[in-house]
Amino acid sequence: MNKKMKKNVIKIGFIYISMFIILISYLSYFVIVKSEGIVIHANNRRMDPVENEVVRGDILSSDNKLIATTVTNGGDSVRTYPQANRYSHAVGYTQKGKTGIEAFANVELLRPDYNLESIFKRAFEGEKFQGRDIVLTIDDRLQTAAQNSLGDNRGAIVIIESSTGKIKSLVSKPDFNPNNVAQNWETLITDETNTPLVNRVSSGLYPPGSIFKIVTTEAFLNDNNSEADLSYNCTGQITTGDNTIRCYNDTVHGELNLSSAFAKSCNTYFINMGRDIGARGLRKTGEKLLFNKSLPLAMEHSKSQLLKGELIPDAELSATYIGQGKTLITPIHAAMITAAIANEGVLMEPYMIDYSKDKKGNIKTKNLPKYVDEIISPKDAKRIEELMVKVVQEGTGSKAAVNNMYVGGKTGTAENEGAKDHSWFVGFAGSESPEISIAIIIENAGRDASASSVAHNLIKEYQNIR
Amino acid sequence: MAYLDMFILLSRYVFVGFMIVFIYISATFVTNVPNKLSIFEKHKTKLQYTCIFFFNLAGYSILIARQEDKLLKIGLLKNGIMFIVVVTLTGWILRITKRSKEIPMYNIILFLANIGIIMLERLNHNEASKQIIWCALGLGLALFLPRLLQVFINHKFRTLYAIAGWLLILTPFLLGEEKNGANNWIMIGSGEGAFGFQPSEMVKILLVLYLASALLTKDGKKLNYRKFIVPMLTAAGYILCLVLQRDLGGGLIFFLTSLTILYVASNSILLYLLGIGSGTMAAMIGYTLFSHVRVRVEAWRDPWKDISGKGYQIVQALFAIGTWGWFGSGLTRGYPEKIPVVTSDFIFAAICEEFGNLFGIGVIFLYLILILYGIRILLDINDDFLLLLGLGIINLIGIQVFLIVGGVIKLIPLTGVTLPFVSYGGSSMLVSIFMIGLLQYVADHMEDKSGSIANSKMVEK
Repeated sequence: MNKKMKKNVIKIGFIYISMFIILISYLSYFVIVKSEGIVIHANNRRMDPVENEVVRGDILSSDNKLIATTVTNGGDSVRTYPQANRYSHAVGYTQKGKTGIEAFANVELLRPDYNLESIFKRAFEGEKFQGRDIVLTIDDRLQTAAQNSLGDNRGAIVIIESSTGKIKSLVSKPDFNPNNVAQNWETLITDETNTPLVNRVSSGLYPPGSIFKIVTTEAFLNDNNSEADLSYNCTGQITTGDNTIRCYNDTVHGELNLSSAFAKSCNTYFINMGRDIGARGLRKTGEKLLFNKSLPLAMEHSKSQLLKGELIPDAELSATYIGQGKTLITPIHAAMITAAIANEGVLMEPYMIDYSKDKKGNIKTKNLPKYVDEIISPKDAKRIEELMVKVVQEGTGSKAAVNNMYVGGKTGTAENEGAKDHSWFVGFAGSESPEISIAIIIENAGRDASASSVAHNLIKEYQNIR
Repeated sequence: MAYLDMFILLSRYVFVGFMIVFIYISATFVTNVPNKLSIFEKHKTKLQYTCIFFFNLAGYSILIARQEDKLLKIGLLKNGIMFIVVVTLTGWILRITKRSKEIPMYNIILFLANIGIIMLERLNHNEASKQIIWCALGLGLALFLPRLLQVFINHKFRTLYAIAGWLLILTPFLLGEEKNGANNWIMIGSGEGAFGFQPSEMVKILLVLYLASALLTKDGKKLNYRKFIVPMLTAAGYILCLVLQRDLGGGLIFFLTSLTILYVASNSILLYLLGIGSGTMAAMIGYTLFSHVRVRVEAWRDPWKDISGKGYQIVQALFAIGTWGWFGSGLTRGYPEKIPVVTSDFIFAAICEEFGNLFGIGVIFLYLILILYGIRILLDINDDFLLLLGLGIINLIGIQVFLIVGGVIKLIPLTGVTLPFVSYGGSSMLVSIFMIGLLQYVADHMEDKSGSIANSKMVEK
């Protein structure tokens, strides 16, 4: 009996070894993987007092422009933003809580890289440790161009590098000066018409207007094949039940195929196309393109909405095919769909922090591009890309064209009850093939194609700096 | 102040260093790989002692330097010295009574106790002072009591063990006080001098004594069914009492320990699976019956849902563990006091926060070494009763460690049990150390046949 017992005792020994290895592995997993979210959790106040002994790191643009820095004046340190309003929504603020990159990269900004020199300086001269610097993917020249071209309009611009997901520019207006947030706090939080603290790029939900025809087209191609076409004779109006929708400015477009209809943004054509697709088909494609879902995106954002609810009235469904209806989309989402089209259907996760470095310039943590999914088949993506190039060559987006640049896009006018319409442009540009993708919305811009002109400016600036 | 901060930041690496050296030395006692450096071999327990000495010195130095109150500084100094005296005395007594081979295991639990005491000093000086006294008392009991009472460590007393167990486990129903949501405390005395104690801690020892004797068979015979029905029902009765007293962790420890002893005694995997099956069923019934069980499971599944309510404790523990990375915040530089009941159930989170997660992993390793060391001792024992007794003790400790560490890091639902040798708590400290004494007694009497039915040693050899 005793021998058998001892054999079983050894077995129990092995059970304990495996149980304790599980404990150790889980703890390690927790530290390596889960703790990132723990450290930046809003309820976790443990890092707050660290600011007393670490000088918060700087934030820089990809072209090395200083965006945020901490100025130490005697015992006091003050966070200052030399570019004032330009990065208000991208980088956020540090007075009255932290937002944007300041919140997201809080730990990295406060993470000192101890070395003998810094430890001795701390010990003998009472000097504070230096936190790490954050280098963004945003290019200051594009950011400046975007800021200027929006002018005093309300709206949003986001530029993404299609093949990597790097955010090259992110502007939301109205903005604020992060240097005086505390001072202007009352106005900032009470101004409900301008809502300057809202980041419209990620949280602004807008009716997409005609840029949604991209989604309708993809639903059609997905149902048929990438080469599919459809002929239709536009008479300037189309009736579903007792609801009649007209083409823009009551234009009669006549005989159309997909390419010409897309270039001219013919409403009746796409409502007719929608009859082939149906609500289920459109919702399926829409959800593949991340409508009604959280986006793969680190920053806080709203969910775009498409065909919510079970029973959709016919009139609403017709309107949905051309982007009216109840559909809502965020500018960053529109830019992501465009970027996927420009990147052979593959969506890369948009990100704003390129890398962090210590004060000696050694790179500490580097963010690598993250593959999300192939949300459109490569063939469909190529076809839509061609359709979008046509829009700029000879269609509604011709104002966006830039000499010696390969540009494609889609314009949109979102009807806005009781006020002037919003103007949309989504598109891509590059020297020979798409490199950057852009989404622009200008609130209440009226019926002139102003978003296309802004796109022109930005692409021109990109041409200069690339 | 900056000096001190620098010292504390550097001390994090020193603490991890002590831990690694200590683990390395202690592990050699388990693996028993003959070491070529015979000088090293001779001085292994001295090296262990040196680790404890300097760990204690470094920990107390930081705490004394951080303390601004002169009186408390002196209190800290006294405690620091007192603890090291306790450690030194333990080694000395074992050496002069020619029981030097027991020193390594005592050193392991004293190192664990030292980690706990330094953490307690940082959190609550009064509790630390009491803890040192409990530790000294526990050592006194562990070193001498099993030998003084060796007539009572005999399988013939099985009925006595069972009855004593019943009496103790039923007392909280009559005299129980509630503490931390459990009803398993009884208070002795009143006012300032009152102290609480957990009868279930003592029942642990009686349970393994009882099961080890009741599940014993005559040489070579298989355990027949009649024989284990009564012991298992008794164990089930104890467990039910604990569950009714809301001591879920205790119940689970009793259950798994009983099952393991049954498995080894009967050599039947079928019985083991049957036990696990009925245990799972009982747990499911418990889940539907008791709301406090559901609350625990709920808080484990998604503590973030109710951060300020049910999930508060576990979320604070996760913040403590997750904020500072591998090397921790440095002693006194973290915020472990934000975790409720940090000195008892959650002390592991506090250790991970301030000494770092690498050190925390070291603590887990140290327990594993303690368990494997115990198992190695068992393999030399030819008396079935003593073997089962030792096995029970090892399981009581091992399961408890797994439950509380796993609970604190949210691997499994939290069951409020203490971390043996480390957590604050008189009964826990006394009984845990006493169990090590009993294990050493078992090791020392492996050839003793006075309490043995199975006189199998000669046959096997």
